[in-house]
Amino acid sequence: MFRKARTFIHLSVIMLTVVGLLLSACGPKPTEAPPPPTEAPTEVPTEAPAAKGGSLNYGNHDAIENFDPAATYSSWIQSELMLIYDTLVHWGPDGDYYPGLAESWEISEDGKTYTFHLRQDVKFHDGTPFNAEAVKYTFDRIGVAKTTIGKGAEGLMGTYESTEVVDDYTVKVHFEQAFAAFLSSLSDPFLGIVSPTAVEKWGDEEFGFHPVGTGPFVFKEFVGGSYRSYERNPDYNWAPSFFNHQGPPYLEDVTVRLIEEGATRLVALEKGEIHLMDRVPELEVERIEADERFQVLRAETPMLPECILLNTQKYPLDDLEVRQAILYAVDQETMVDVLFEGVYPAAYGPLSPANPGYWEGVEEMYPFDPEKAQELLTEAGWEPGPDGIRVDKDGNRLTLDMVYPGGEFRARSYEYVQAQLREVGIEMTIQELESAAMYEMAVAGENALSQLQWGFADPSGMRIMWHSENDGTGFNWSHVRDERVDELLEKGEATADLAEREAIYQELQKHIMEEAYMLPLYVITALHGASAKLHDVKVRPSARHIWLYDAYLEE
Amino acid sequence: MFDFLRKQLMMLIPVMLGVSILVFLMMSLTPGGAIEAMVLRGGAQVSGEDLARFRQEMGLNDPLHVQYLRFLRKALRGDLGRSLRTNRSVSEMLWEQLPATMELAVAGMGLAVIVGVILGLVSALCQNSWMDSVSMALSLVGWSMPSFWLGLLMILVFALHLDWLPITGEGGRLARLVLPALTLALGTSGLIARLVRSAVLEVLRMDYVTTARAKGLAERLVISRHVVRNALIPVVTMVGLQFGRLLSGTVIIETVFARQGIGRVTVDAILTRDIPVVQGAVLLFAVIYVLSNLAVDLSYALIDPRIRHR
Repeated sequence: MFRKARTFIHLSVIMLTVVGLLLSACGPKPTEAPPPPTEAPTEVPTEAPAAKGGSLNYGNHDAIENFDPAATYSSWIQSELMLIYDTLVHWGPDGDYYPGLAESWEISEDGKTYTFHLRQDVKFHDGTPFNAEAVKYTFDRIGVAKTTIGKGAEGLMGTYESTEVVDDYTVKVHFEQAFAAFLSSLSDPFLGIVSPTAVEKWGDEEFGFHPVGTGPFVFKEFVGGSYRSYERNPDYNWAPSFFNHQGPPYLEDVTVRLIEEGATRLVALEKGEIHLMDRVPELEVERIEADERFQVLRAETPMLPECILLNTQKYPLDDLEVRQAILYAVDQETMVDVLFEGVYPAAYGPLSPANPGYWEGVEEMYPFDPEKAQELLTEAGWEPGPDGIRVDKDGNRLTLDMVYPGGEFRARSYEYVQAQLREVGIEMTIQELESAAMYEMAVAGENALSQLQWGFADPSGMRIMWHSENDGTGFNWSHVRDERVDELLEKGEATADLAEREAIYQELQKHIMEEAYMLPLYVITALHGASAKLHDVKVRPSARHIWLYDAYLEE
Repeated sequence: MFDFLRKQLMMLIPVMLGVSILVFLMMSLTPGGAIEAMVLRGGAQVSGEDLARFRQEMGLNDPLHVQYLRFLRKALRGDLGRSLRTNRSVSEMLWEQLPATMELAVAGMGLAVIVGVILGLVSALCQNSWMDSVSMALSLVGWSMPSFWLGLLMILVFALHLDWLPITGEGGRLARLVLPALTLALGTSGLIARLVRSAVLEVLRMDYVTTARAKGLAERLVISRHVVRNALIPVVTMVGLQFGRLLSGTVIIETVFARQGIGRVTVDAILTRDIPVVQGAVLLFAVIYVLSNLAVDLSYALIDPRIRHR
């Protein structure tokens, strides 16, 4: 009887585990290769059906709790900021600048003064009129408003001096230095125009929880950890011209539900509980795209691509030849095709093709050439050791430690890199650390290889990771102290002439790659998943942010 | 009895003091500062100089004891400070999130006890039968499965494929509670089942049970009047101890099932080194834990008349 019980227990356990495993493997089987990814945002040609509308449920991964554009640091909030705020200028889906709350503008010869002629028909959600005072108020409080830390808005204002109110609908914005990137900054939701009346009423600290702007939707309600909701603004009539219509938005309301876990968010989409989600898990993209009930909206992000920064202050990466060998040894193209099924394109330099000023020349600089890599390493004094890993003349092994903050996708890419480096005799160790802890290590320069990727549009954003002033304090984890780099960065910021700027940043990209300060891996494509019934969602070039103004839900 | 209560409640003060100091030390000594952690997560354009300035503005450069005393002074007035990340009042945040966590924890514990007690009783009363083996196997499996995996599995099966239950708001509060409570309960129920089984087996061997049977008392009554109550005492102890573990389990469950709750808020706060929020949340957990243990102690008096008359 005892033996029978034992066998029974064993059998039950095995059966339960098997059943558990079988259930977890459940899921629609992957179909054949999906159609090639659409690069332009999905715009279904609209034949003006009777009444477009709908109540949108949007599953979002970020726990936003403060809606003051001057106070928030998180760039994930941008789609929602664009619901309630407008900006003076818009960066349209085609990459051009369009009038927003400003109908037209002039830039002075020296690039230090911007004059804006504002629309006269705009009202805030609280009924107060939009005018030059509101613009001045908005700009002045950035950098002064002591609310939360980080304040992404501050970094966008450059060497801001003051805003002059010329008359009710004309402002002049003054800068200490020429600021060519101001238009790009202005189109950023962080510089959305706020209602001075509302800020005065609630106070700087509380305004973020009762936001008032001029946007197509009005902030309705926020329940922490659960959802935030917005309602259509019936008075809205100042949408930029790249949209399909004018007047109020089609959607009656938008409810953004917080679902942090990617798998759960995807299930909610598949169940139909949400119509739109951000950050589709990369490995599910193919399956979702192939399903005709859904669509995947992609856009390349302007950014420092996902890459490995090489610590130039740490032996042996202080040797240019060693760094270059690493770049020749890795085949990003094959990696993205094989490992990632083409979801993300390969990267070749410090900018993404979505950044204005991206230089295509970087794509030719380091073709996959493991033999060349081997040559360079030998020249640099690294001979193959007994186990295949190279050693220098003192017998030190060529070992590089890599630290990263987690992420399954990244982990795979590093394993690939590790294998390719091994082929040329370089040993790479990979360690996962919590991101804040990793930050400390990387800043101090303790490790050889660091992970980084950073979203920004205007190339002047490169300053935070390549300027010597950010070595030891900021995000310059390659610990680059290069006069030429500093010079180019500073010139780029101060130059007003667009053609000259482009040349400067082109040279900067070339120089960074010549010096092999980084190993580019792939460019992150923003992946929004949506029900096929949701039409006309526009993806903004910055890609972390979508416009819901034209969008509507099919019945 | 009330003396006992009063003394126990007084214990709360040194506990909270100790907990707050510990949390403060841990957060301060953990590598990575609040500013960097938040900026990394949000991705705005911030230079090294800016980072240093923010740190200064937030008072994060002050020596630890200064920062702690600043916190203590405000806490004694009932002000738990504001989130470094969102500037919301910490007490407001926690108050908002508390009901959801308590709901989940109580439902989870309740389910765990019900399932555990039933399984355990069945096992003990039909000792060594196939029911016994199955129950014990189930309890082992429940105890061993990682809650994250189990949670996702539940979502896939019950929310997606069978479409019986919702994930987000629609469908009502109760419907949303079922899956997460079940996931949470499964682990603890396994433990309770085993405990109940051995407790009941022990009691069945007792003299008073034999006497009751000899008296001619129906088996049903023997069990309900004598066995269950006596077996419950170690179980109640276990429930009290397990409640703490269950509370920490809510952290994962809340994230997986997209629920509000203190657990989720705590994790977010730790990752962004949002010290005021972590302090507040952990203090709250400590209070809940102490109070629940107190409730357990009091319940002994209910179950065991011997204690009542002491």
